[in-house]
Amino acid sequence: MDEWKTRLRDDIAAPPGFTDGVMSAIDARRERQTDKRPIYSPVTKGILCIAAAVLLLVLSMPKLDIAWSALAKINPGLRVTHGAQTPDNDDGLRLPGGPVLYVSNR
Amino acid sequence: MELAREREWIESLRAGDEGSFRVLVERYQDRVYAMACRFSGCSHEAKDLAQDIFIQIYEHIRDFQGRSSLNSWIYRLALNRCISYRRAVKRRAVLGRDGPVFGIAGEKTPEEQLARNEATRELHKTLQKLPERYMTVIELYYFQELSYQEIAELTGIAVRTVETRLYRARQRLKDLLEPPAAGKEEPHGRVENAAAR
Repeated sequence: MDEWKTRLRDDIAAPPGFTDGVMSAIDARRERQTDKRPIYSPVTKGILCIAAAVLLLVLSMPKLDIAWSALAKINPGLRVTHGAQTPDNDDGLRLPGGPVLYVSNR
Repeated sequence: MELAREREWIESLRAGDEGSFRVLVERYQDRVYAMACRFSGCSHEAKDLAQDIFIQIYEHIRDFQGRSSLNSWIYRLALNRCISYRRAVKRRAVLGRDGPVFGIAGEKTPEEQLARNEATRELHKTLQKLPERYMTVIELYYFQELSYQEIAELTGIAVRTVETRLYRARQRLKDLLEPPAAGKEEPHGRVENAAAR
């Protein structure tokens, strides 16, 4: 076929010293990579993780009421006494067969 | 014996041996560099692009599992890099910028060299106008001299599709390379329209 095989020919060769250029670029890159030190050591990372977890816990404190209430609904035997209690005849939630559950309005 | 030596060489490449990698660069530099030239339109950036391809090869050679030939693996990597280069450059709209064609081999006189240089630049400019899918098959079939089957495996398309794309790419090239016959001059912008189709 193919006139195209002769038409599409350019016989390009790499410039002289190309291989050396590639090898020195690789060396330079490798040196840069060995120079890179991790910013945080594993111990520092651990401490940062714990600090983040504590911070998260503190920030989520207001939500704990809701969490406890939800737990109490799952387990009717659990009595949640957080917050000011009111007498039994007010609108505290009574679970069948279980003790009075006070749900905070906060 | 030859096969065993080749396998040994590939193993040392995967182990990160620099001497073996130098052999690889020497073996593939012309083909990879030429591919970079064609995709970058022979701009000054071809050298950087080719160098970048070899650095990528060096960094990923450990991933070479031997499921395909080393040739195919290298071409696939080079092709992907060239295509992403072309896309990036197209966005910057500097494709086809004139630049020297380095190292045209086999010419004797400076005049021949100059003429060849010019012809090559024209050819590359024309190739730039081809859509990516056609450019890819032309590159692999004519310049890298791969078979239909190899191209199909490398690009993940069917052999029939390779054949069709090659046919259409040739038609498109014909339109782009051959000026309209005298007396049957077509409206201005025919070449651009052909390229855009």
